[in-house]
Amino acid sequence: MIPETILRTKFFPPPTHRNIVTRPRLLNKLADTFSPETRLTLICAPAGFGKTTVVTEWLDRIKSDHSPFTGGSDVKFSWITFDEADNDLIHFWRYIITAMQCIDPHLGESIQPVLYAPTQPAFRILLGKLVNDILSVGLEFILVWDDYNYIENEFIHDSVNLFVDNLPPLVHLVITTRSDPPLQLARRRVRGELCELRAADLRFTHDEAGHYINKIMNLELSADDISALDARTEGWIAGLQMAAISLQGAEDPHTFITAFRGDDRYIADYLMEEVLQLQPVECQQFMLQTSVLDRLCGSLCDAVTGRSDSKTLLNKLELSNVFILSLDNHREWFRYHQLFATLLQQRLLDTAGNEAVLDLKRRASQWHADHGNIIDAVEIAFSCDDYEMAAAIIEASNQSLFMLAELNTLCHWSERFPTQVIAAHLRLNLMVAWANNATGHPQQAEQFVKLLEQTMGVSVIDFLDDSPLSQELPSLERSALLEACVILINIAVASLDLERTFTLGERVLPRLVGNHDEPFAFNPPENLLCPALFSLGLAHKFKGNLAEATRLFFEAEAEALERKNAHIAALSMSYLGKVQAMQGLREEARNTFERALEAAKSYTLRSSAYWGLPSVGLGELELEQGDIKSAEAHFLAGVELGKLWNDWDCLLPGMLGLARLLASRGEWQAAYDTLDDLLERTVNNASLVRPDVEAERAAIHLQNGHLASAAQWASTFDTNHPSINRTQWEQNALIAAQIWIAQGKYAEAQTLLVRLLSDARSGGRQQIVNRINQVIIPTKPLRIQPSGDQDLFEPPTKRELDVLRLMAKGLSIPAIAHELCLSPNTLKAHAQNIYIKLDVHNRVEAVNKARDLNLLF
Amino acid sequence: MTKLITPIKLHQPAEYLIELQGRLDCKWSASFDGMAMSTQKILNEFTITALQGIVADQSALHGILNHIRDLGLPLLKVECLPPPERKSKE
Repeated sequence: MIPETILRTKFFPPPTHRNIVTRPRLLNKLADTFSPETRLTLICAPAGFGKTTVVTEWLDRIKSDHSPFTGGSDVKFSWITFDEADNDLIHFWRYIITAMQCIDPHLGESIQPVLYAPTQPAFRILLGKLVNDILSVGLEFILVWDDYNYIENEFIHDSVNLFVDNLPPLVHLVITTRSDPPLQLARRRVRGELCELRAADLRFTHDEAGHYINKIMNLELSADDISALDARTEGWIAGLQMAAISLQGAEDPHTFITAFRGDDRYIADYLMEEVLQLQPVECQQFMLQTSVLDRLCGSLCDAVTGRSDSKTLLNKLELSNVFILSLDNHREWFRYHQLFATLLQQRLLDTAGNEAVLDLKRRASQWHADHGNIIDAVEIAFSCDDYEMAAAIIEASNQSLFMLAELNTLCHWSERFPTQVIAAHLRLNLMVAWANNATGHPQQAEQFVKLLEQTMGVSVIDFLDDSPLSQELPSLERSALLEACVILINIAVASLDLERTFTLGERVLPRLVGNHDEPFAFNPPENLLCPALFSLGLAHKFKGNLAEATRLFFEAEAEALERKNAHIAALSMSYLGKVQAMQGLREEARNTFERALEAAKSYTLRSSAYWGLPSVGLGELELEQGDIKSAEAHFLAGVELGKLWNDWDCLLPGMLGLARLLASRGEWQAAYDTLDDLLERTVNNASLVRPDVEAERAAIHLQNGHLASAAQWASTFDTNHPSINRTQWEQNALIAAQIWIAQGKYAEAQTLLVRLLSDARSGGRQQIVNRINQVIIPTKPLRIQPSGDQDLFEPPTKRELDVLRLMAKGLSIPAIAHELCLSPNTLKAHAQNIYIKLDVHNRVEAVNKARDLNLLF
Repeated sequence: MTKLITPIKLHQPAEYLIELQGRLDCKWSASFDGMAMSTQKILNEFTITALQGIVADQSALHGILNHIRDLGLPLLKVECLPPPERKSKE
């Protein structure tokens, strides 16, 4: 997103200036950073106290030093300078990883792709993996986070706290800030985890001030004058620097100092005037105009000031002035010292007025937009309250924010725009609706669709009804409404509103096929077909209409491949495989999952989340066929990705499968732990996940011999199937039936199983049919002991015993029916019950078993 | 310190009085969201600059406090003033 050269400046420590006082007392204190108990080094003081300088000096010392007490020259370091734009949790950690990778490309490698996902990853896991990366690389290094005071996002602070708590001893974190960060400083101070430098440490001592004035700046002042300067500036380094620079240009230093001492104006204000006056007029003008920029380069300054020699001026300023810092090795990017910039900005505002300031900022924003740096461009436009400009830049960026994993940024922006600005920009309106739905905020997305309808004065339904009003709309607006329909289909399925998905889908799909040559607001209609097909397929899958889901997923896959929509292609394949497995088409399912994994491999993001679903799918197939080892590998691979991406859709089947697998090996505790872990991770989707987890827990209780606990769950099982996610309910119903059988509640089990069988057969859900036929009926645990463990066994009824006796005499079913005056169908039901109760499959077995159990007399 | 009579909300405007140590020129007013500025010499020893005005909400107030922090000016007082109708009754 951000062009390479601008980004690089964040990660470059300002070069140590030639004119600095070496400060051994501070360097000695900083050496505590390396003591084993130190977790955090905090350098906290107002602007102009030399925080950054002392760190760069320290790093220089380390590089040239071999003393073990300071870490020695083997210690690497990485640097980040924060600014206001870094208050997004994901951006923040992306920068941290980028900075660390300057030390070793493997640092943070395993979590990098996750930071580009549309949904928020699970930070606890992410940081755990980062720490693992750090441990496995095994290098000692220092992380410097400069200007942390710009970070105000509490989620970032929380994640940093967690990071600091788990930081391996080889890593040393150094934070510079103008105010105390909320990083549990009091606790850390008490525990001795903090190495701290504050204003009282950083301020120049009288001797340092004297050394600086006379030895470094060669001003040869009298002791009295130095004392006067020291007293007036109170050791404030920026003040002394400005005073020294002014003194260099002063004709009579003593007069200057006397005047300075007698003036009670804010020192920086006073001295700034002096420093500015020393500059040539064109430089003064240049500095004032460019003070609105966070970072400066020649081309940007040219765009802002209208000059063509900015690069030369910047280099000149850097040579003559201590208040401009170079930000890279190429003398391309610079920034003003913050205090200096603030003082310049105030003067600019005072002399040129607010409109002029805004005008300069707008030019900067335009420059960033022209150079592909959308984020800075939009942020600057927002800082001018110029929402029209921000909207225009976002709209012009077209798909790039979507391609570059900036959907969360787009959502945050959508909250900052006044509603009427979004309403006035069709494309922006569609963009923010898509972004909100894709990042898991369907309700906000729906609000933006409503906004679009209001703007048009035509609802999506009016449009689908071809109401007269909608037909009068220009074709651009009509295609915006068509796109809004597709967004609504996505929203409907994300909110599990299946009926709405079907209704909309039926009406919208025909409008998406075929050739389109009308203008469109954001996505061309042909690109909208694959998300619509996929959403509809998903709805059918939830409903249990597997044949229809299969057809739609196949079509969605083909469309997605055609339109190069890798995201929908991978999802369509994963779900297609799932549906095929439900249909009992194991080989087809296996092929589809393998195809999905193959497609996922071609992603630029190597460990794409989409590997998770097909891996879990393969695991389920292998487990069903008894290949435990292979199943375990697939489950683990899928679950690892699911955990990383915080994707409950993948975690739920993955961890349920894993728990089932562990239980099958008798690793009961591990199985239960897996279920608890699953609940904890999916707490945001608890209502969807919990019923399935509790069903699986009951199944494990049953296997483990805790019949009472299993029975307790089964007694609460709702035997009416829900309107959504019927396939998962059927799996749970099987568990309930097994428990009832174990309890001897054959009638309940029988009723449920018969209904399940017929429903699943008619719905083409062969997986369930197979399980009932192959797993439950034959292996039903009929615990009948000759001595009679009767409480576990529902004995045959009197009528059933009559049937059994007649069977033992060798009568056929119709003959028995005749004998007992029953209809053949009723008799078949009796026979079925007998077979279930005795765990047998035919008459001969039934008679033998009944004899064994002394049931016949 | 004046007792606050009406509780204020995070998103509501409120009038504040902020006192800083040192003399800050009144041309800084614009960079403090247009707050009125005045200075006062205390016992001929040091000068206090007072900023007074309505801030749009609590975030705006914190923006001003950050600005003061960034300038390195010692903060002497931050006071939320009672709303004008209450003041006139007093």
